[in-house]
Amino acid sequence: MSRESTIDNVRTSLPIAKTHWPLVFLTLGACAAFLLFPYDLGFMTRILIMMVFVISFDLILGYAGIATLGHAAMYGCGAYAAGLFAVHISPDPLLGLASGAAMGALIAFVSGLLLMRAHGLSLLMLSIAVTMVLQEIASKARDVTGGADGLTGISMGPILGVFEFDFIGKTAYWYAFCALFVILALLRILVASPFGLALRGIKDSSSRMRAIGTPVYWRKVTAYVIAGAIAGIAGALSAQITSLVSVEVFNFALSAEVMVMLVLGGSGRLYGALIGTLVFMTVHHVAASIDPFNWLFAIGFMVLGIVFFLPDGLISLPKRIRRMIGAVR
Amino acid sequence: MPETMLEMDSVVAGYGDTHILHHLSLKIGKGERVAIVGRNGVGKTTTLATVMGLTRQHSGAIRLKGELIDRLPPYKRSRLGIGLVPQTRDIFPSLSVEENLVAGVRNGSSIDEAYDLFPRLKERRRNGGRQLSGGEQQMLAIARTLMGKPDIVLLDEPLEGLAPVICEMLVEVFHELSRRGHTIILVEQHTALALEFADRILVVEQGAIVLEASAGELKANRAMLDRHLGIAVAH
Repeated sequence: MSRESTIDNVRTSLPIAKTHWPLVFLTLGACAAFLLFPYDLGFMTRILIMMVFVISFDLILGYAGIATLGHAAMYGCGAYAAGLFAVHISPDPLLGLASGAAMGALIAFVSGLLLMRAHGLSLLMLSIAVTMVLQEIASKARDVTGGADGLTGISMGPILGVFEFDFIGKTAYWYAFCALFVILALLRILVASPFGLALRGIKDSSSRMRAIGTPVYWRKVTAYVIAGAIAGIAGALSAQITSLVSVEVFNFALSAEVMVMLVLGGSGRLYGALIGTLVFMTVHHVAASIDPFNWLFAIGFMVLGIVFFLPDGLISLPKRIRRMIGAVR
Repeated sequence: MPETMLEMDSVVAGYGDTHILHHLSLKIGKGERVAIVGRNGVGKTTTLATVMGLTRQHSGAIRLKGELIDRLPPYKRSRLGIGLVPQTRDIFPSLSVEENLVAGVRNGSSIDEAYDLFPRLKERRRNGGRQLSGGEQQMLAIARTLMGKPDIVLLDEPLEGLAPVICEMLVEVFHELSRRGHTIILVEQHTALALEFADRILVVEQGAIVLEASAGELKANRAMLDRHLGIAVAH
């Protein structure tokens, strides 16, 4: 059997690659949300952008086991790159996305060369430090980034020269959805490939992967760069759609929230990242509108409950229910 | 001796600053079957780990097919043709049997070869690493190592804790690997089994080779082994 046919066999054996239903559900869900909540398109677009950001984090944490608290570094750089690209070079959204991806990947590569040599607490601290340095640079370079006032004057042209960004946010919504759909489809292929298997092997036992001929360090750097590019795209989407980039994009809270969203949904399965983001942001939105001062209680109790009762995240809920039903019978 | 496959020359190695191997030297010929025996804690596993690059080598030289490999990381040694089956097996629990094998695929190797060698793995190819018995895990560990197409296979106590029927099957597989031209170094506590399988026996004591003899010689003069191992060899 050739290597290709072996890999094809493995792909079909992976649950995630078996069916395209999850992508169909995602599309149907997006259509339903568009029709049911026509006045909340801005909020739903933010959810879609965060989904892109969180699945990029799932690739490194859920698949490769790389726990960082500095993922906002790539998001922020992608946002600034796309913003500056739109202001100084071209208002074309897709080229802007590419510039965000390139900047996210570049920052991930440069910082990853150092970070991927660290583990555990050192890695967490170093990743926070990288983000703080970038935040300080963005804050100090007022002439370029606008400093604390943020980067303004971002005006986007029509997508593919046809679809203008509208005031209601319809174009932005479908633009963000298309970006998420394409990235998710590509990530599904990636995680089912030998590269994806290698990442999961590294998460299980990096020393064993090394001993069977896998250059663990470079695999981790590669995963970090891919995740950085996707995070950069998320940042670029945010810059293009909100027409503003502030130094808040490098906030530690953003990196921490991304981790919470992933843990809520369930890591290492891509769709967990989507579910976690949807639930976190919806609860956040509803709780903050009910009680703008104490909404964090709701988030805190939700995270406590889910981590305690569903340690594998919300994505494991159906399996847990099936088990409970089986136990009752 | 046939063409040299692996050579360790006065190697001092260990974990961190601790020295476990003290000027250990050995030479293994291409296609040879060599067993390393010795009491617990004398450095048998460390010898294999050092060849693989998993320990800290303080001095000495290691050559594979005449090329120095001291400075190479483990993955490059693996790609040059060294395959280690660790004592701990280290199956990836989150991957299925087939995924474990694919993770080890190198140089166009085929998992069908692994299934030919271990039909049991084919039956359980969709099972997760956690769902396998000890014997099946050992089969998978060996098969995954073979996916890297190694010239030399390092087996670290592969029969430890396994049922006799599985041990017999695995020993037959080791013979088959030898017939296919693999050089095999077997670290084994069961001295009788080592004598039965290997062409040559190396006895390790305190991190150095203290006795080197053919299996035939040692079978004829078991008292020599008893002196070094401090036990009577099972007949």
